[in-house]
Amino acid sequence: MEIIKELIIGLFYIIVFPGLLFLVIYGGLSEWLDRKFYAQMQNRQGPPWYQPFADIIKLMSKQVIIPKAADKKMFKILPFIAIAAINTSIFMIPIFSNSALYGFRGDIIAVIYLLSIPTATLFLIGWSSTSPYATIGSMRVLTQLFAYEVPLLIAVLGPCILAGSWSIEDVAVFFTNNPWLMLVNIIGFLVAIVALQGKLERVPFDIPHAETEIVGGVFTEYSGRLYGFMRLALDMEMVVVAALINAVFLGGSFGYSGWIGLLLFVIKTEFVVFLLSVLKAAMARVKINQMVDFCWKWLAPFAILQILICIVARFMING
Amino acid sequence: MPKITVPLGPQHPALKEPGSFMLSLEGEEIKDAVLRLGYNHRGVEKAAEARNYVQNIYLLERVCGICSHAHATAYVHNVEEIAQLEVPQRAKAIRMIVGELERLHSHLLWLGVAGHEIGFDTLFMYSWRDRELVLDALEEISGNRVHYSMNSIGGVRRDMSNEQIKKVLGILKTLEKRIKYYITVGTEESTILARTQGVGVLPKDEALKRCATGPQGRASGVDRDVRRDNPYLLYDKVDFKVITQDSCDVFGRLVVRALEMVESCKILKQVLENMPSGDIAVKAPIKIGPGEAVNRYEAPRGEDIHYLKANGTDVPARVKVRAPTLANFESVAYMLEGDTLADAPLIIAAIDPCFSCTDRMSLVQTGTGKSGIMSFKELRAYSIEEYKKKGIDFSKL
Amino acid sequence: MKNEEKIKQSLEKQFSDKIEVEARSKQKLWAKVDANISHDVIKYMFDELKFQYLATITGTEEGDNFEVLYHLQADEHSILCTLRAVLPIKKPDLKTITDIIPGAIWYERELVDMFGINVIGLPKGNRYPLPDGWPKDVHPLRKNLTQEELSKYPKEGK
Repeated sequence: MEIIKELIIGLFYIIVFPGLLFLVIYGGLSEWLDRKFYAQMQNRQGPPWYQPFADIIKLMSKQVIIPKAADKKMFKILPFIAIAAINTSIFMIPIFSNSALYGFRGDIIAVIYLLSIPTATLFLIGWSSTSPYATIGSMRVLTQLFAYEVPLLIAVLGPCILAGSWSIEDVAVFFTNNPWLMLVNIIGFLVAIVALQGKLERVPFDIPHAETEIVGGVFTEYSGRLYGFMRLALDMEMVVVAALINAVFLGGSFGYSGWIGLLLFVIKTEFVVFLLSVLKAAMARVKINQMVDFCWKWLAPFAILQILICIVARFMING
Repeated sequence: MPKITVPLGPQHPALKEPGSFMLSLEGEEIKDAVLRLGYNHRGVEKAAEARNYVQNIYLLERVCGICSHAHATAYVHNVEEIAQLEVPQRAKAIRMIVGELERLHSHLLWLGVAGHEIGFDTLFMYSWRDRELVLDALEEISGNRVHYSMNSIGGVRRDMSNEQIKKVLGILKTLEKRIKYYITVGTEESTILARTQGVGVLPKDEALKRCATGPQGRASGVDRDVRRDNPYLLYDKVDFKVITQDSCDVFGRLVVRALEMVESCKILKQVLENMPSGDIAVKAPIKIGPGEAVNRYEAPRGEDIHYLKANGTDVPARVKVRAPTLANFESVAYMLEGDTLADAPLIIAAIDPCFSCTDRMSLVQTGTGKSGIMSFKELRAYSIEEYKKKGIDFSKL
Repeated sequence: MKNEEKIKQSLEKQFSDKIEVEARSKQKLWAKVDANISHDVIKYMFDELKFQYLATITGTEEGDNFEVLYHLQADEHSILCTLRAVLPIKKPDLKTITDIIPGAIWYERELVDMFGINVIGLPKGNRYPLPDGWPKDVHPLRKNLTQEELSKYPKEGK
């Protein structure tokens, strides 16, 4: 009986909360908010709140066409690998309270690695589609991965150094206890926001699926259900990274749990989404070489500067 | 690195109309570009030979959705020259107002499209919102938003009342403010600068050799503008500057178009405030000619040239239309080579292409001799075969 | 009309009785030559008379002849000269001017497709504006090509 009970609880975690269902619903709502913010900034109305769900439902009911030359198994399985990786990473990030479901020492590194799996699947998706647009798209995905991943990782390490722990939970608890120290990380926070724009492939870094250049990029050959799952994966990824930024830079739930914790979580993650939308609305897409230049010439040095500041601050705290 | 051939067109999100650009890529760099046109052939020139002079105004207006007034005006100029009609001053002024409003609306449209090509959708939304103001003004004057149908042989079809003049002047005031804002955005926003400066370079000597015209030529330092060089309508009575740039790149073209909008506003104000009084049309004969005439018109996209041969009947013997895109098209291959794939849509957009203007003729699809409606399989086999000839193998897909 | 006269005189001096030049109105010149010297005339205009720009090339049919109209422009004083080259329909050979002005290429391809004029020395490339499948001997802008004539050819998909 004990085993069955544990199994049911485990399944509940995976499928309902904080797993699949929560991510899908919250991801859809976040996408809607993102689109609404973006539309308002562009002097448009924007979609109604159920639009992302309607899109997904519509895509699910459409026919899936797989190119003959594509690797069929890979083509079908890749969207689910992306979803699985994102779903796993949410277990290590605190959501409504300051404790994660399966937190452990060094989980921040694990989360970052898990979050680069969707990017890797994007590359494989493009490569296995074999169309010229998708191939160019996947080459761009890889080039971009090497540009933004390093600044992002370094930026996230800043708070960890300050808190003296490699566990996301501990970092969140640290900032809950010392909220003023969040200001030390302001550079790292901005670097992370810009790098995330590359991770989520949004303007100005939506180069891998720049529609006016390479049509749909890596997704060119995707259709129907599989495309729907891939879009879902990107929505979920946005929630997970927003939650990660919330926990690492914005002090988690400030020790609250329950409804207040939920409210704080929603406000802060949507604030991150809002920042991402502002960046998206205010810029043009850059070229891939300009993107790499920018990441290495500006983002990476600033991220390293942040680390130095954190080390100095750490010594000052410890006296 | 192996070469990849990427087909940009005939159907592609970057192109609003069909045209084909086969790009051979080495990594991201374009090594070679093969251009193809003719997908939009509608047989306008042949059709014009079967219609009378009045019907042809409306046919030629439909050569292009954006510079419709330009084509119609160039055509009526030719007819009026052969029939030796003296067009009243007020009609000339009204033609000029519509022509300049059309330039404003075309340049605002271009700004939006260029913004979209580089992924700056916010600019696209803003400039198209303000383009609505221009369309409102045009609707106020002519009753139509796109095909104004203002021209008739010997004048214009509608007069402008004082209220209309006042309303258009009011719209201009708002527009001037907005245009200033776009000039600031276009010349200062760092990502726009990164995407446009040094992209699609067309040096002056190449622009001359390839007969570039309009903003494309003026951004390469080719100082040509029919409005000043060979003034038609009332352009010799208004004061305006011809904008040229020496940067020869997409940024130069952006600046030329932006500043031209300011000049257009200036022209419009001068005309609207000093409207000549009098009739708006003179009576025109049904049979024209014999004779021939050639006239040029500075359309928003560059110089439009029309040739008309009349043989004394009520239908023309030959109507020739050359839209500016065809003149600028030869430069595209030169500009594409050596730039990256990411620049390609912008370079193509920077000539403000209008392929439906450019291809004007095509009658009946002949040739294969197959019978029956093509099934999907046949169509697919046909397209695979076609692309094989161009060096891309889609048969495995 | 001073500048127009100047161009007229120098053209008449160079080609004497082989050319007819007429200055009909301000900034507009009309000239007529035989097709076999049109290339030389255009070369002379570009090299000596400071013509810089080819606006377009118009093809027309006049009786037993094709008339090819080159609309050339001198940037100085913006004079538009329409040079008419006359060539017989039976032997429609015309020398390309792409060696003088490369921008002429699309206009010359149009002549080939729409009138069946044989442009000698035209660089290889795609057809313009007709599709590849279009029969080689059907030229839409010829006066003898009517709708009835066209309907003899099998339509695609029928």
